[in-house]
Amino acid sequence: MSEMNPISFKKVPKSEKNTEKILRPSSTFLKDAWYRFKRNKLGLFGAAIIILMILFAVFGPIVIKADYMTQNLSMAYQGPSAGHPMGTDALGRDLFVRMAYGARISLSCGFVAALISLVIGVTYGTIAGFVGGAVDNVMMRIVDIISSIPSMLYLILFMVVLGNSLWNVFLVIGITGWQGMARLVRGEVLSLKQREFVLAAKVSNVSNWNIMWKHLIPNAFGPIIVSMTLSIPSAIFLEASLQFLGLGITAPMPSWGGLAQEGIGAIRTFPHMLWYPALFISITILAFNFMGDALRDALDPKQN
Amino acid sequence: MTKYILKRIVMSIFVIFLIATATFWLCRAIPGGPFDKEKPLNATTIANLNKKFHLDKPVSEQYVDYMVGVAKFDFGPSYYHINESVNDYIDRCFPVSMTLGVWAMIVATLLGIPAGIVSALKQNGWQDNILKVLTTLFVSLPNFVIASGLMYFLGIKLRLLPVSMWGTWKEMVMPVLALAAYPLSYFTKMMKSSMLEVLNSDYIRTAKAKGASNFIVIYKHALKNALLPIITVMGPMFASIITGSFVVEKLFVIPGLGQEFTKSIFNRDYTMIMGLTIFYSILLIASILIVDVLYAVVDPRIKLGKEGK
Amino acid sequence: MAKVLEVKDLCTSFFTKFGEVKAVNHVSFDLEEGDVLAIVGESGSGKSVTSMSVMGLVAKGGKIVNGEINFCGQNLVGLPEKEMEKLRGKEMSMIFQDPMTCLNPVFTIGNQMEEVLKFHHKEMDKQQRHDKMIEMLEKVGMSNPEERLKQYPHELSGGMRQRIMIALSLLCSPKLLIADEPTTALDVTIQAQIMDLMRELSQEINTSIILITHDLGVVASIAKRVIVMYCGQIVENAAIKELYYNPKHPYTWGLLKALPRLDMKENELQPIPGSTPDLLLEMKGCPFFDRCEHAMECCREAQPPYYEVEPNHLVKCWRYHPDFKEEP
Repeated sequence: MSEMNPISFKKVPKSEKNTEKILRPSSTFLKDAWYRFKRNKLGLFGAAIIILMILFAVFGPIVIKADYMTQNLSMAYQGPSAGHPMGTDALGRDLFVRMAYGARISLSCGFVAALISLVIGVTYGTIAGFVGGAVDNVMMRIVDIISSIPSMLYLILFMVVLGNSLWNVFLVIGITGWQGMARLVRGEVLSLKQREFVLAAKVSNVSNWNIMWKHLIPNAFGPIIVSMTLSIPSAIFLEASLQFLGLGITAPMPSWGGLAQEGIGAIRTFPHMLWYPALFISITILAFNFMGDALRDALDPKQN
Repeated sequence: MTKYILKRIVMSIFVIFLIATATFWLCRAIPGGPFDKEKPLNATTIANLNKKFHLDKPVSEQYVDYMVGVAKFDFGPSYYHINESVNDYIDRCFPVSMTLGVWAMIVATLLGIPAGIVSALKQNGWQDNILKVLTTLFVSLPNFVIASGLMYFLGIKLRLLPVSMWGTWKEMVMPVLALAAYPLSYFTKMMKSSMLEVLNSDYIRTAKAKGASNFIVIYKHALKNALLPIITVMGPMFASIITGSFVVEKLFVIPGLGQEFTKSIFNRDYTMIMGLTIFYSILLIASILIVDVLYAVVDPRIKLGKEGK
Repeated sequence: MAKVLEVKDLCTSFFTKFGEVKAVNHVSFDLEEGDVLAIVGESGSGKSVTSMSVMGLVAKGGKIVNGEINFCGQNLVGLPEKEMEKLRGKEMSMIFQDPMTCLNPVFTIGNQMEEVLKFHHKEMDKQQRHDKMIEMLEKVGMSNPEERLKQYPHELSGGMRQRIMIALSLLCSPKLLIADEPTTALDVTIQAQIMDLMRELSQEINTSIILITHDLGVVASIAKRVIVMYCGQIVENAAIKELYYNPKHPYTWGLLKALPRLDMKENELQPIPGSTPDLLLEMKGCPFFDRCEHAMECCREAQPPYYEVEPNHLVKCWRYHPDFKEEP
C-alpha cells in the first residue's frame, strides 16, 4: 500500500490524536439500571404478569358479581362457562371470584411478609455489621442457627401457638424469612463502613444513627431491593404450601393453596378446580423470580 | 480432625438444647390446656389426665423432666393417642419417610450432577437450553403443584402408576420424583455453574498444557473440584426434602412421619408437635454436621482443628 | 542451528458478539534450538494469545485464522487435537503466571507430576516415575522431595509452587518451554532465583524458551532475542543487545524510558501516555499512532511495513522508510 499513496512524513500535532478517548456519555446509576432492565425480556414479561395479577386481584371480584362465600349446591362442579369463567367448586361457589380473592391473599402475603422480613433483616443486619466484633459474631451465629432449620418447621409451630388468622399467617411468614436479608445487609454494611465517605462522616461528627440511615442503607439499596423481590415468591410459595397442608387461614376464605387442596379432592372428576390455582401460583412465582433476576442484573451488575 | 469434630458435636448439642427449650416454652404458651376439646371434659377427667401426664407439677419441673427425656431420646407420651408414645410413632413412621427421602436424594444426585455437567459442556447448546427451562421451572414451582401434576398425568390420565399408598416400587416412583424435583434442579444449576467456573480456572489450563486428554481434564481435574460446592448444599437440600415430604406424604397418602406431623397439628397433640419438631431439628443438625465433616475430609485445603471453620 | 519453532504470518482472532477481535495480527518469528526468545508488551498486546496459539490452547471463542506454526518441521495449525495432546507436556510445555492457581488444589503434587509421565511415558513403571519425579524436584532445588510429593499445593509457598511448575514442565525434557510471566506473581527476591533456575535447566536439557513478560528488566538477564508486541502486531524484533542499545521503534523507546534504573533521578521515569486502542475498531494506520510522539500523517493513513534497519533487526515504523527525514 505504501507504493500507492504519496507518503507524507508531516508530523501530526498532539491535538489531532485521541490519547484519552471518552467512549460513552456518562449516565446515572438508575438510568443504567433501567436500561439494563428494559433489555431483559424475561424480566419485563415477569413484571407484566405481576401487573396482570394485581389487576386481577383488585378488579376480579368487581367484574363477576358474586362473592366468595355464597353457596349454590345446584351449581356445584360446573366447568368454565360465560357466567363462571373458571367454573364452580363443590359448593357451587364461583371459582373466578374465589381465585381473585386468593390472588389478594397470596399477593398481599408476599408483599407484607417481604416487608416484615425487610424491616427485621435490615435492622438486624445493620446493627450486626455496624457494631461488629463480638456482638456481630453472636448475632450472626444466631442467624446461622435459625437458618439451619427449615422455616416450615417453626412456621408451623408459630401458627399453632398464635392461631391461624390471616394476619398471623403474614406475620409468621415474615418473621421466618429475614435471615438472608440480615446476612446481606450485614455484609454490605461491613464493606461500606470501611469506605472513605463513612470515615469522612465520622470525622465530621455525624451520629452513628445518621451514618447508618443516611450513608449505609442507601448504598446497599440495590442488593436489598433484589433480595426483597426474590423473597416475595418464597413467601407466596410458603403460604400456598401451608394452606395446602391445611394449616393456613381457615375456610371459607379462599387462598390459592387452599383452592389447590380442594382441587386435589376432585382431581379425577373436575381437574379444572386444581389447574387454575396451580397455574396461578406457578406463574406468579415464576414471574417474581424472573423480575427478581432481571433486577439483580440491572441493579447489581457486579454480581454476574 | 477429632478436635474439630468434637467441637462441632458439642456446638450441635447446644443448638439442639436451645431448640428444644424454645419449642417447649412456645408450646406452653399456647392458650388453653391440651385437653380443651370440642366436647368439654369434666373437671375430674381433666385432673386425672393432668396427673397422668404430670401436668400438675410446676412448669419448671416439667421442663426439666422433658429435657431429661429429650436427652435420653424419649419424647414422652402422645396427648391424643392414648397409650402410645411419640417414640412409637417415630419408630413406626420414620423408616417410611427415610426411605422416601433417601430415594429422592439419590435420584436428585444421580441425575442432577450429570445433567449439570452436560449443561456446562454444551453451554448454550440445545441440551443446555432444555435443561435451563426445566430447572427454572422445577426450582420455582411448589412441590404440591409438581406432585399433583404427576398424579394427574401419570396416575389418572395415563394410568401408569398408582396415585396413592406406599410399599411397592410403582407406588414409590411418583412421590420420589415429586420430592426430588427441587433438589434435582438445584443440583443441576449448581453443578453447571460450578463446572463452568472450574473449567475456566488456571489449573485446568495447566492440565491441558500437560497434554491431558479432554476426558481426563473433565472427569479428573474438573469434576472433583466442581463437586465440592455441591457437598455444601447437601445439608440444606436434605432440609427441603423433609419439608417437601410433609406435602408429598399427605398428597400420596404415605404413612410417613410428615403425615403424622400435620395430623398432630389438627389434633392439637402438643407432645407430638413438640417431639417431632425437636426430632426433625436433631435430624437436620446431624445431617449438616455430617456434611461439614465430609466436606472437610474431601477438600484438602481445609485444615481441621487449626481454624475450626 | 536448527529451528525449533517457526511462526509464519499467524493471525488469531476472537469472535465476540461485538465483532472480531484480532488478538494476534500477522505475527512471524523464529526460535532456534537452545535459544531464549522474549516477547514483550503491555497487557492485551497479544503476547499470551501468541503463545497459547503455539500450544493449541486458544481460549473459547478464539481461532487461528491464518498462518503456520512449524514446530520441529511439523505444522501445528490444523493438527488434530489427539496429536496436539501428544506434543503438549512432552515436546512443548508451559509455565504460567500465577503459581497459586495453576496447580489443582485437590490433588497432591505427586499425583499431578506423575500424570505427565503417565501420559507421555507409558513404558515407565511406578518406581521409575517416582525416581524421575524425585530427580526433577531435586534439580529445582526442593528440599525433602519425598515429602513434597505427598503435599497439596496450598501447603507450599508461591516460590515453591513455581519451582514445582518448572519441574513439572521439564519432566519430559521438552524442546520448547513457554513461560508466561513466570515471575510476575512472585516476590522480588524470588524472581531472580526462578529466572536463574529456568535458564540453567533449559541449558542442561537443551530446551528453547519463549519468555513472555511485560518487564523489559527481566528480559535482559536471560533472553537472546526480543520481540516487542503492540496491539497484536510485532513492532520490533531484535537481538537483546541491539534492542537495549539501539532501539528503533517509538514504542520500544517508551518501554525503555518507563523502565526504572538505579542511576535515574526521581522524575525521569516516563510513562507512555494513553492506553492501548480498542482492538474491535478497524485500524487503518499504525496502532500506536494516538500515543506516539513522532506520529506523522502517513502513520494515520496506512500501516507501515517491516524495515530491516540492521541485519536481523526488524522495525515496523514509517520512520525507517528510505525517504524519511526528521523534521527540523
